[in-house]
This record gives sequence, structure tokens and C-alpha cells, in this order.
Amino acid sequence: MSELEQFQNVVHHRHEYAKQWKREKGALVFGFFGDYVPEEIPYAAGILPVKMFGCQKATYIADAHISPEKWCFFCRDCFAEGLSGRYDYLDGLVITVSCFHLQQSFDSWVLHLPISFHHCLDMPFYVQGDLAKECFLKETERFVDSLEQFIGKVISSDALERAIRIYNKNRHLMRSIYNSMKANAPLLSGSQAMEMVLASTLMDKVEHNNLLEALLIKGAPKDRDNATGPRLMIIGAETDDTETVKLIEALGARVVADLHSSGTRYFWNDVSLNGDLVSSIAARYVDKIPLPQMDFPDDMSASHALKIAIDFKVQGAIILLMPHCDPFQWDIPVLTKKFQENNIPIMVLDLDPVTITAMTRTRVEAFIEMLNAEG
Amino acid sequence: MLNYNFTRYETKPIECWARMKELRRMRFRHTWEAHEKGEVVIIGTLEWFMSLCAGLGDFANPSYGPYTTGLMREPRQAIRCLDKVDAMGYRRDICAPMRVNLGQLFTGMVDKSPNGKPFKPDLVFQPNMCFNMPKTGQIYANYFKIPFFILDVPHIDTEANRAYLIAQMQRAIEWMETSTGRKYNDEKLIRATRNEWNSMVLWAKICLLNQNIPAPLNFRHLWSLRLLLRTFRHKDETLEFYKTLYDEVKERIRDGISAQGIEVIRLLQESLPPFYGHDLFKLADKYGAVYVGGEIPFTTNGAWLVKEDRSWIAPPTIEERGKPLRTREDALQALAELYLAYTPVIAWPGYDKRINDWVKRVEDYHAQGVVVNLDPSCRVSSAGTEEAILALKKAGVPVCVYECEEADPRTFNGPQIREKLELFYTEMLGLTDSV
Repeated sequence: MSELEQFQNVVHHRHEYAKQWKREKGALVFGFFGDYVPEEIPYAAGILPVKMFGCQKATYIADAHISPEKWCFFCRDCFAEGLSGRYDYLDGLVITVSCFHLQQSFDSWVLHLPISFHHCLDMPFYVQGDLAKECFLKETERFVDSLEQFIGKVISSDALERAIRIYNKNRHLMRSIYNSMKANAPLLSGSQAMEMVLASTLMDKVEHNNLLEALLIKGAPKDRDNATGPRLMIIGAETDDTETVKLIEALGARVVADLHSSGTRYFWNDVSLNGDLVSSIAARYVDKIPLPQMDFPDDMSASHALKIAIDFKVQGAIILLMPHCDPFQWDIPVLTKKFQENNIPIMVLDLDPVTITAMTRTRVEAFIEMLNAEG
Repeated sequence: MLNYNFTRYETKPIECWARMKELRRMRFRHTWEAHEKGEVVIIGTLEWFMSLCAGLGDFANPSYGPYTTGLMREPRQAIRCLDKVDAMGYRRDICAPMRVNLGQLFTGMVDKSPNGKPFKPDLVFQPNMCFNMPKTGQIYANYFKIPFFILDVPHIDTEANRAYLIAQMQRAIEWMETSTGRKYNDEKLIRATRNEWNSMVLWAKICLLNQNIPAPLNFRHLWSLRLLLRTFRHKDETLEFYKTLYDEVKERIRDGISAQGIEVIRLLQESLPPFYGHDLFKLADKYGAVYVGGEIPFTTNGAWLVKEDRSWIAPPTIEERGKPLRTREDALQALAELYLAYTPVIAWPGYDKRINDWVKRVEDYHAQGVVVNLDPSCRVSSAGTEEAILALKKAGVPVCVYECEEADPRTFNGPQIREKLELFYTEMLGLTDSV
């Protein structure tokens, strides 16, 4: 199997991967929600952290617990996956308070599904303030204490340093691969890049690093069809919807950049190895490109999105909007204004993650046609 | 098995109602008169931590937007504001009260006082109880080009989180001085903190009196009477008002005075009712049903100590608390304790506890049914609502669920909701309108 096929395989068979890892290592697997759980901590404790996703099928079994009229599909999908029993191998569940929607999934999970360990870290939302790092450090320390009590041993500094180095390497390698997308013959297409990042969130990072290194050595596949369609950027929230990205590519565009939680937002910044390691870990998460609900008083996220768009020579951007995702709805006018001021057309695509509708296809086609006409 | 109570009770109007209206009118006028008096106008949904701003002297705070109350009485006007917000690109899953607030800004309503004078606030100060508030504050600050301070309120009560909150409040005071050129007065802060704490405790005590049979107040009373806590809970006159109200409600209990003269059945309204649709509660009158309370009037305004068994009681007053309140630091510690330890609505993560609160409240308030608005737009207040509904049903409590946004009349299907409620009263609760 090629590296890309292995990424795909892990994404589509993530439960089998996690169960096998658990058997082979004789270790624990923790699920985590969202962007702000300091994964390095459980990893240093010998635990495999896996990001929680659904399966993009109808969420009827979850709907009585999390209403489809106001909570996003993604959070319901995650909980439905839990109710289905497919996550029964999880030993723990962790969340950092960052999103009302994901919190529903976590809290309903804790209420209804057996889980040996669960922990909720509080997160300062004013991440642009200089007190935020100290605040999140205390919460991270509280997490460390709770985890150490659960596993019955102290997480050593050496283990933390090792975890940080592995995670930083993973981020560095993914950034290198992403940088290739600035060129006309990138290593990956946009959907492949998304699968690469998704796989990173689901795999042991040592294994993932090996695949990334192999990919970088191989270079762009010789048989890659260097598409000549418009260069697009995808902006959005928590998503594992590779099908919509594949649709965009199938309709003749090249997805060359992104800012979403299964893309650059996941790996863009590193943990510093200077000073106290737990402090450095906490600081890294506070310094992430903020989600809209944490993005004040300055619109850092939109400014960062624009910078990526310019760096990657993007010709158009699509905001993938999950139904009921109110945090990203705040960002729409800001992104629209910034991108239009810089002559980059931008559209909002309302997603129906269960079915790619004809309306979705038509809207994307029209957008691509418009970009092609503008040359 | 439902128990009906056909006892006829005495009822009479609430004596301090007129004072409440007078104070509310004063507050509305204050927004437009503050500058003439040399006072500061602070924008921000500021119902919490008002004491912090009191150190600047008296200040006006139009909170959810200066015309919100009026807009909720005039749905067509509210819709005009909301349509403008839609046109500006803000989608409808965003918090409805914040959209109504922004609508006042985008339509130019906030630029003028009711008598047409130009209006510009001085500061935006926004506690982050919910991220929609600082996002709104950001827009106000950019529009008016005025200073903006965010007070980030943690969700979990720990020593470290209290320290974070206190450090920010210290910064806020320095910022207020720099932004206004005024000297901050710690004595005013301390006095205001005492008022804020004790007003909220008094409100909790008043709500607890509604456990009495018959209930001395109904939900509509509570909904209006709580408003001074939303607008200036830090003031002397607010504390005085709630002392008066508390005494009056105790007298009503002593004299057997009920809210409505009859309470065939007692109900709770959990979650936010539509601000523009309070006539929904009147439907219950013909059946003799009385809404005796609910989480929202209780929690967003009162201070509560939640016991192990999930019943809510009033916490100690600031005097009973037994800690000093003599310095700025004392006051800030008190505010941090008040909001992290005694304000359940902040602790929206971890709603397993909240679910048990709903079930316990039915027991404590002798309710026999619960009505819930599954409000799609306020996610803080509705976190875990669906699970709480399931828990109530499991406990055998009749539940009626309808859906509309608290502040967006476009989502309100009046006939459908009224029909649901009527069916609830008649079919599930077995009530008749021959009372």
C-alpha cells in the first residue's frame, strides 16, 4: 500500500487501527474532542490519543439527546458513533471547553456510555490576552494530575519531551508537505492532504511520521494529473468530510490550501522545548490560530486565512459551513470582507454532510466557472 | 397520578410593582442622560460584574441594546432589525438577542437617543459569559471606535480560575482609568459588590418562597421582577427594592395570598421563553395552572448554592460569608467567588448535574409538569436541554416541548405552539377550562 493509501485506510478503518494498536501495545486509547486537548500529555503517558469523528451517516440515534434543530451535525455524528458501540474500545475521553456543540457530545457520552476516565479542561476564550497561557497552564496541570492518578504513575519529563519531539516532527513534516501545494505539482491533492491530517489525528504519530518521511522522499507521483483548474482554499470548522473536497476537485478545481481543524489549524504551530515542558504545551494550544469563538478583539483567524491564501496563490475560497455552526457564522462577514478587499472571491457552501446534494454540486460548479471566466 | 388543587385562594397585586417599573424607566432614561450628568456610558451585556464598573461612579449600561425591551413588544420592529443583520451577512444560528442588539446598531437606532440627539457610548466592557457577547462587543467597539475590554469568565470553579478572573478584573480597573481619565473609587466598588452579592442572594430567597403552596408569585411576576438584577444589581436602590419585595412576598405567604387565586396544578417553565410572546403563559390561566418558576429567572439573576442532592438554596449573604470586604482585593475575590461558585448557568460544561437539577426542582417546587422551549439560539442556556427532557420523562414528569427563538419573532409559530400547550394542559395534564 502506498503512503496515501495507508492514510486513507486508517481514516476509513480507524476503529480497527485503534483496536489493533491497543492489542499490540497493551496500552490505552483515549478519544479527544476538538482542537485544544493537549495530546502530548496522554501520549507521554503511553496512551494513544485519537480524535473523535462520526461516520457521516444519519444521526437518528443521537437526535433525542442532541437536537438536530440547533446542534451541528458533527457533534451528533460523534455521539451517534458512540451510541452505535463502535468506540467501545476507548479507555478515556477528554475535551477542552471550546465549543458548545462538541461539549454536548462529550457530556452526553459521559452520561450514557461507559468510560473509565473522562476529563474536561477549561479553556480561556480570551486567548489573545496575556493571562491566558497561565490560566491554561493550570488547567493542563490539573489534567496531568488527574491522568497520573488514573494510570497510577507519574508522567516523566523525558516522556513529555519525547512526546513533544514526536508531535513537533509530525507537524513539521505536514507543513513541509503542505508547502509543496504552493507549487503546480504538489505532493498531494487537497483531499489527500485532508486524509493525511485526519490519519495523523488517528494514528500513532511515530508511524505517521514514517509515512510522511517516505512521502517526502518519493516526491510527487509521476502519473499525477497536474490539474489546471482554479486554486482554491477551504475554510471551516471541525470536519472529516473529505467527500465534499473530492467533489470540488472532481469539478475541476485544485484545493491547495485550507484553514480548518482537519487541516492546517491542526498542525500549524509547534511546542517549544525551552523551559518547563507543561508550560510550553499549554502555551502552544493557547497560541493556535484561534477558533472564531475565541477570536477577539482582533480577527486573527481571518487575517491568518488571508495570509495563507496569498502565500498559496489562492484564486478563490470556499467556506464549508456546517449547519448550526454559530461560531463560524460570526466569521463569515469578516472573511468575506477581507478576501473581497484582496480580490479573492469567496463563497459559503452550506454542507449537508450526509448527502452531497445536487445543490451543493451546482453551487460549486458555478463558483468554479466564475473563477475560470475571470482567468 | 396528578393531584389537582381546587382550593380558592386570595390574590392581590404586588405592591412594589410600581417601584419596579419606576426603576426600570429610570434605567432606560439613564442611558440618554448619563453624558449630561458627566457619567460614563458603557456598552456590553453587563448583567454580571456590574460592581466592577461602579468604581467609575454612576454609569449607564444599555446592556442588550438600548431599545431591546421596546423591540420585544413590537415584533415588526424587531424583525426589521433582524432582517438588517441577515443582510449584513450574519446567519441565523447566531444568538438571537445578540442579533437584535446588532440590528439596533446596523439600522442606526443606537446612534440616536429617543429624542434624536446623537449618541456615542464611551467604552465596551464585556464579560465573556458566552462568546457571542464579546463578538458583539467587538463590532460595537469597531463601529464607535471606542476602547474594548473583555473579561474572560472561566467555566469551572478552581483556585487557579478564580486567580485568572481576579487578575483580569485588576487589569480592567486600570483600563477603565486609562480609557476614561477618571480615578477609580474602591469604596464604590466595595459598596456595589455588597449590593450585587446581596441582591442576588435575596432574589434566590424570593424564588425559594415560591415553593410555598400557594405560590405567592407566578412566572410572569418573576420574569418582570428580576429585571432590576439584569440592569443594575450593584445599586443601593436595587438592594432596597429586593429587600422590600422579599418582605412583601413573605407577607403574602403569611396571609395566604396566591399569585393567581387558584393553582389547580403547578408547572415549571424551563429554558428561555420567547421574550415577545409572554402571552403564552396566559393560556394556562383558564385551566387554573400556575407557572411557579424555572431555571432561567432563577439562575441568570440569583446567587445559588447547589447542594449534593441538586436542590438549590440561597448562599450566605456577603456578611454571613465571614470574609472581609474592606479593600479592592476583597471585593474582587468576592466577585470571583460569587460568579464561579454561586452562578450555576456559568457551569454549562458538564450538564449531567444540570439534568438532575431539573428533576429535583420539580420535586422542590411541587410541580406536576414542565414546559420547555427548545430554543435553537441560546446555547448556553439550552446546553443539555434534550437530556434534561429525557430525564424528566424517565422520572414520570409530563413535559411539553415547543421550539422558537427567544428573541427572533420570525421563528415563532404562535398557533402551533398554542395548540401544543392546549393539548398539554388538556390531554396530558387532564385539565379543563371550566375552572
